[in-house]
Amino acid sequence: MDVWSIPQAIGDTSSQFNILEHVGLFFNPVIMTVLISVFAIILGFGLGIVGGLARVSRLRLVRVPATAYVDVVRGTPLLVQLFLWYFGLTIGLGVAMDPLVASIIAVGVHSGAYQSEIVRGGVNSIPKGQEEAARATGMTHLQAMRFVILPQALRLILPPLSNEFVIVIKDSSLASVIAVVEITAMAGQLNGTYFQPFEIFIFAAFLYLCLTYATSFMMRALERKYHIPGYGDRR
Amino acid sequence: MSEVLLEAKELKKEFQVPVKTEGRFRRLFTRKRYDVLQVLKGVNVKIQKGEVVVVIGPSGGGKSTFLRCINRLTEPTSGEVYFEGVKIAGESPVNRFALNEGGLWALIGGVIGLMVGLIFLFDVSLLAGLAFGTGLVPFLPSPYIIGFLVIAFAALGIESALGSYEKTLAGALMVISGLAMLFILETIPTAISAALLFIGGIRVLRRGRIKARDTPGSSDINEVRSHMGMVFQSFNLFMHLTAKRNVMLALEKVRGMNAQEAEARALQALTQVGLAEKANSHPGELSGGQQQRVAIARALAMDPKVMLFDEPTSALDPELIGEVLDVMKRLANSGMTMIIVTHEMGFAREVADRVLFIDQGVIAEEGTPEEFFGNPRNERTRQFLRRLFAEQRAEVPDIQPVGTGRATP
Repeated sequence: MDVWSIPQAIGDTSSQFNILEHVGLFFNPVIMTVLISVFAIILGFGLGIVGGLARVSRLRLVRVPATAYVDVVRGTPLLVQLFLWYFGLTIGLGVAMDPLVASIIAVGVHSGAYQSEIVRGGVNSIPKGQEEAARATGMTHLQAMRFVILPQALRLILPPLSNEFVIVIKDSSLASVIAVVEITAMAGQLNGTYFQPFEIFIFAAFLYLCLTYATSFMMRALERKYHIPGYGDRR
Repeated sequence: MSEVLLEAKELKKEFQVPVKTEGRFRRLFTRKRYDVLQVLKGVNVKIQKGEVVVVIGPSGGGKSTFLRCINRLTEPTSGEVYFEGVKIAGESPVNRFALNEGGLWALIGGVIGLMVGLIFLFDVSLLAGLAFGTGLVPFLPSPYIIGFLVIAFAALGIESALGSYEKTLAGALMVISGLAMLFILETIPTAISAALLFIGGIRVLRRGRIKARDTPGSSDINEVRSHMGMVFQSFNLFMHLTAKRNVMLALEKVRGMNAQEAEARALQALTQVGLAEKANSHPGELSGGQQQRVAIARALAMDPKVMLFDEPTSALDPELIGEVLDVMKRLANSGMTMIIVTHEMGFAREVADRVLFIDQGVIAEEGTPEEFFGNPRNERTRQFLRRLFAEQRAEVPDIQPVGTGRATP
């Protein structure tokens, strides 16, 4: 018996199995993945803006905690953090955690650390003269940040942010290990039933690709929309 | 013409240039050392309302620093600036201790740590401890008060949650950390001097937040800056906004105008500099000269009482300098008070009511343009002018029309 006939020996289902007949099963899992990704992106973006600004603050009491957050969160595996947020809180501390909420928090907080660094880089890349000009007209530091520095920095960091958003979508697959039935978990379950890993995981990958491509596409549209005429062109 | 608008007294600026020490750990355990670079060494000047003062001098002489000290984009080390009789920059006598931020933090952290620690250790009434801490509040600049309150509330929480054994332990730890913070090597001198000031009951002010309460009028620096227009060498237009929005931003956010008022005022200011038709262009689509004129409009729209120009034409191509100088000339003729740092000698000669020559951190010579260019008394001035005109003659063979001669050292 050669290798190629093993699947047949286990149970020849390939002739009957068609992933397209099971697409309906993926409806809820896709929604789960989208939920985790969207909320994690929102949470991460919020943390990123706050953390990034805190990291460039002149006050040490603000700067140091933000640096610690970035270093700790960025320096530990997301899977471990996910276990901490879910098992650590639920079993360890007795705080009832919904697996969906736990994965949103874990992925969001993780992404927030990376986004803080992206935001910090963006803010630092805006020339000092911009803030000086704003301050010279009588704006406060915060006003200058909000109306002059951030609008420019956010435009600059759109490409790395779209990177990060795509990563968040892919990282959401880790939620499958704490029993959130999203795309990867569904694919795993289906595979357990039919043992057709190739078709099933190709299909799962295709679903992720659709989501990530849609994200990249939207981010590029944003870049075009907020493009400043005569500024930052390389084309 | 006799009303004094701006006055600088003994304005000094030192830049601290850190001396590089080898290795991370050396820096952690030793006090940072600085070299002092004296840029301004005591500048005294009075500027009348409506006066046009041109500041010239060799590069690195302190011209720009002088200008930036006036609206405190650069914080003067010592000396005072008065704007309409109100002190807007200056040191109180106690401030020679010059608290740096690190020192202040160490001090506050130390005091709070000690306070909470003692409360826990000896079971002093929490209220008594908090009262001691609260007594410090009037001495602290506002950002620190928030931090203090947070810690105070945290202490309250800990107090109610802990048993006596843990409390003692926590108290000991806090006393130790409080002492440690007070005696961080880097900050001993400032922390001690600040502590002495506290004990003496003298009001300690953070550097740069000096307010003159006894004089009438406002001395909030943001408010003051909104009455001083500033034009930069590198334009510094807000790159993401159109010309019109550049002008409108401060009108809306600082002056609190609504969009229509601001837009009307912005268009008026842009018309004044001859750029109404470029209102909807972004800075990236404008030439350097046009950008600088928008920057002038941005400053002008705020109805400033004085305009500060920091080498407004140095970053421009020679053929674009003229349009900017024209706008400035019109402004000067309209009676605007102006302080202009420039290398345009022809322009200086034409518009200046008074010329200041700043060299090596002091005003080496001042006078009317006729005196100054015709008969300079100071040897340094003579040298400077000779070199400048020699260069100009080499560059432009004919006697150039006034205001277009380009002269950079």
